[in-house]
Amino acid sequence: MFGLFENKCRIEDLKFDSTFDQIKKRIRILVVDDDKSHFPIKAFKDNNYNIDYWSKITSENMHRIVDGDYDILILDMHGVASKDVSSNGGVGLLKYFKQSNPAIYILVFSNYEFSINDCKEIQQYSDDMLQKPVEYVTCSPVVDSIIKDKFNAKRFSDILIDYLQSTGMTNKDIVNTENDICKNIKKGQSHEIIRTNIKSKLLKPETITAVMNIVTAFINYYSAGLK
Amino acid sequence: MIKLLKELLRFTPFPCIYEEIIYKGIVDTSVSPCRSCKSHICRTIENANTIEVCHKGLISYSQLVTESELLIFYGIRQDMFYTKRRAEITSLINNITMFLTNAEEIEKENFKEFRATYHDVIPAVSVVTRNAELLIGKSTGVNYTEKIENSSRELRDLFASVRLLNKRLSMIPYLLNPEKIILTKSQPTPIYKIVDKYVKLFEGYALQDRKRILLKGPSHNSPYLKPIFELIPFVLIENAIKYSFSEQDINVQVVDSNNNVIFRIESLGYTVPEDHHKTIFEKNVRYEHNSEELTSGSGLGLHFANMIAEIHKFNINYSYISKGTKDSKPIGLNLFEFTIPAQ
Repeated sequence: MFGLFENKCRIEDLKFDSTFDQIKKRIRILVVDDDKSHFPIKAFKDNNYNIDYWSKITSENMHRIVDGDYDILILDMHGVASKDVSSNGGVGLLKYFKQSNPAIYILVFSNYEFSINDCKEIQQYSDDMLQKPVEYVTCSPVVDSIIKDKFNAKRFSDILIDYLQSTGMTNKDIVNTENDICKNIKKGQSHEIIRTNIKSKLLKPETITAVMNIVTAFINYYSAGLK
Repeated sequence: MIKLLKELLRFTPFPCIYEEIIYKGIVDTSVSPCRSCKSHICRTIENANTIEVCHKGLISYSQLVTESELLIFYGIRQDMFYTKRRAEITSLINNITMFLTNAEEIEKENFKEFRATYHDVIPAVSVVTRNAELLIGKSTGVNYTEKIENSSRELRDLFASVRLLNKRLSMIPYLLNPEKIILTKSQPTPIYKIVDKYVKLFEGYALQDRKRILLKGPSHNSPYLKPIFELIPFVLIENAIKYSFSEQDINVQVVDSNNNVIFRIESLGYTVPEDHHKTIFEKNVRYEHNSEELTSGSGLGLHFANMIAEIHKFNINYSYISKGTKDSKPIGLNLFEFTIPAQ
């Protein structure tokens, strides 16, 4: 497959200079916990993180996670999902979130014990865990290291390729799709133009949504470095 | 089931021995000769339903509680006290047997209650933490670390206590559900920095007993470890403070040796005899210097630290350098150390 990338535009090659603080302000964090006191929201806000808090995921707000409004999701596992969206709390939503928004970084935030099945689900569809109770001084370095280590062009490129491979797309089509997306990003094309462009290559609506979420997350991060 | 029995024995009203461990009971009914007795005649009982009388004239009573394990009640006076108590002991054993028969159900029920209680504690502790953070936030400084440093000594101590409490509480889910450890991912872990953090957090606690914790280094290696690793230095430093003599220095060393990281903590206190070195890492076991015996106790810290070490494929070793005796009991420099191998 690597030979196919020759002379192609690759997302991982879109490098730019930006400071950690610039990126930090652009990375959109969502904390979902039924008890607001569990996470130091105020301290994060005071220290210039772009952070939102929800007590519950409902059918009204869930689309914002699915549609790529957030880059990091800090998700409690119990008491955070209304029954119409999940019968198994946060655990029941992990797979759906990861499949529809592969670029989202999910940090499971819980103090509960889990069943073996839940453990498997968490291991497969979340990125890491954060143990309650937490203080700002212990969890801000965790979030900082996620921002430093996980928000880079290489990761977005890898996520895009892994996702397209999981849809059964041929290697040649994958390389061409990334090439087109990359060129459009470089030209500063709008999301609509990119969407129209990839529609001809990706048939299923859910695949288009997932790819556009990866693209949106990358552009959000990438634009931190644009002067 | 055995786990449940051991939990149950921690609350027995009579002193007893099970699997070599002494359970003192909630009311210490053993008479004083037992505390200093070295004959251990009560432990030589091999058969169930046996009554032995030791050379001090005290009775031991044995009962088979599992297929092969004996439970021995000991140190019971032979006079009318015994006659009166024997019925109680028999009744207690019957209750234990009944309890064990329904163990699974009871365990589930207890677990549910414990889980609910634990779940109730977390919000309360979180509120305290958020309020402490608010107070710290009002201090001067360009970042949070500076604000902590510029806070009053009292506020810093309060905040340190809250953080230590949080850390202790964070052990519980892993003890209830060790499988959860595998869910967390390994990451580069700056050992020296972590140990330094705990040395600072425990500073106030140690000073209460006029102890100082001195950290020597440096170590620059950051091996890949799971976040839970932090609880090992936490437990070892806390234990060193708890079990060392007043007005002593506790020496902590974190150094690199090739690509390995060596952690060492040394403190002056009573020592643990060699035949108990492995047992002190067992759950609910504590070595008592007063009786020179292994007894039941919360004894979770070392057990948990050892469990985390095993997950990371290294061992925590205990040794000591003898420094004579104090009140006729052996004392020395207690040394806990481990080496995190290069990866």
